[in-house]
Amino acid sequence: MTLAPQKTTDTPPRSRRPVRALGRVPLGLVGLLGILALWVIAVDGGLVEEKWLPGPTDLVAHTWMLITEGYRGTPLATHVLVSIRRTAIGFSMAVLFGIPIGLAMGRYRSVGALLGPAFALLRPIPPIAFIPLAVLYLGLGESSKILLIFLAPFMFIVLNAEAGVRSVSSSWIRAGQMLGFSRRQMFTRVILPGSLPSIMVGVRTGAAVSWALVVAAELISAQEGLGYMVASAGNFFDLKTVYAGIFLIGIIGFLLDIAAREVEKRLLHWQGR
Amino acid sequence: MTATHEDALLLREVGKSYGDFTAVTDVSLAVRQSEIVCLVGPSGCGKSTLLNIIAGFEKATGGDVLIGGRPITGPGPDRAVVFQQDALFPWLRVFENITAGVRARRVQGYEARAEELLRQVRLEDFRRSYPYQLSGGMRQRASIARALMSDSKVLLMDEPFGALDAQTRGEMQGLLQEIWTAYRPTIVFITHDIEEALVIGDRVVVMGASPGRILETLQVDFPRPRSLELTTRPDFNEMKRRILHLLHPKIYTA
Ligand SMILES: Nc1ncnc2c1ncn2[C@@H]1O[C@H](COP(=O)(O)OP(=O)(O)O)[C@@H](O)[C@H]1O
Ligand SMILES: [Mg+2]
Repeated sequence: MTLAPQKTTDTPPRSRRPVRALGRVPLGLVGLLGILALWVIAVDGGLVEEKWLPGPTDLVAHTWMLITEGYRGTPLATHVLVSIRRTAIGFSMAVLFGIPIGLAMGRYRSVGALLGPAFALLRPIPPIAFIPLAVLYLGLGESSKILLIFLAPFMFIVLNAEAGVRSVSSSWIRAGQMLGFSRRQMFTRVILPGSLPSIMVGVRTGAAVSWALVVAAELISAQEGLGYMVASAGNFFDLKTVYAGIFLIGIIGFLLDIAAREVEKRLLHWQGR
Repeated sequence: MTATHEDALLLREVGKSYGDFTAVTDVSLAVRQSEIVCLVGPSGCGKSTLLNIIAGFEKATGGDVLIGGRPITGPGPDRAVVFQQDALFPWLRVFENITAGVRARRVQGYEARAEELLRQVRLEDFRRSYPYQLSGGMRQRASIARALMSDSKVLLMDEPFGALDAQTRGEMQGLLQEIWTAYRPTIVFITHDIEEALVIGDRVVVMGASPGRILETLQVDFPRPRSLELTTRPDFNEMKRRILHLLHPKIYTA
């Protein structure tokens, strides 16, 4: 039998990514500009009193003032950096402990059986509900806030890492067995990369959640941080600062998500999505 | 059945039960060195179960399996498997997939053989591609190269072309014969396609269901290389008819 050099129906799939990206950006921009326009109309048109909703130019000027003069004696950059630092510590700890624990739960039946029910019970409790306990046990210092920021992403990461191990295709395991992989090689060369997509779902959700939680954690009588700034300004009816803080929280969260997606794309490029 | 030095693979009264359910019973089969044995049978008759037992993925509940005269103890590189759905590692490039086993086992100097196999399965231009960038046929070719890389005693293939379209399947059947001509591997090949079994096999083992067992073994003596033209020969169709009768006695025996 000779292999016919004719054209074949068996061709590799074609990438179709660029088209989608092009189509979406302008529409999203239109949406943002639309909201901005409504905002200007609402404020400048006198639909909303300025003391309830500062206008965009006003807000930019106020933010500049916060950058140069600071809020209550602390520069805005410090508030931002303090919040980022707390998130970074809590989130890194969640990654550091969450991935190995989740992997162990998925890999070893006994570990999964031991810890599974405990995590199943803890998961539905909103992390904010732990605030009083954190304060009672750890006081008002950094550790109670970091613990809170740690908890929620930790849960996400553990559960997704565990699910990741379970989702590893049995044909990959069998392929590893027939290739003569040792147990250790099976873990590092099959189970770890095989569960990475699921792990990354946990890490990405965890990153978003930990940033959201920094505000809640800083409500526990912090002296610095974006959450503190927003809460404190709210108490003084300083709406401009509240809005400036909220926008900053949003923008930083957005950038964080972009970064997390970029990491995910690099680690999981082989999925071809 | 006694083992001879020629038998690459020997099954002796192999059986497999899941609780009360007998999936496979009393399968005895001797496969000679460089022989291609095709298993055909209706779905659920235990073909995959049998292959998984030979591969060591599952344990037989009766009988034994010998490779080169030695009983198997579990999966290992002496028996390479090509799965139906592709079981390439999607996070590795084609070349890394093909050499995953030899690298894990720290075999020295595998590069030349890997290059040769890449050429043999016509993937030399795709060595740096990831599986998602390949077509179904290309992935199965990479799987075959990965299996051959182990230099195994037996190549086990479970409906390797079952998911491919008809034309690609024909090309793959040709490629497998080229590979056989080049390396003379011993192959156990599962298919539910009777023509495929007759084009590829030196012997066709016809299995029946409930419980899964061997109904009959047919010797296929068409000269190699075989082309798809074979399928139009009267003696080919005569064999096909015999197998159809074995598989579907009620439908075909009027
Ligand atoms: N783990 C299992 N538990 C119970 N029954 C099984 C299991 N695996 C396979 N079987 C049964 O064994 C029979 C043979 O299956 P299989 O070997 O996959 O058939 P084939 O590959 O010929 O289609 C089927 O009836 C199937 O339902
Ligand atoms: Mg099957």
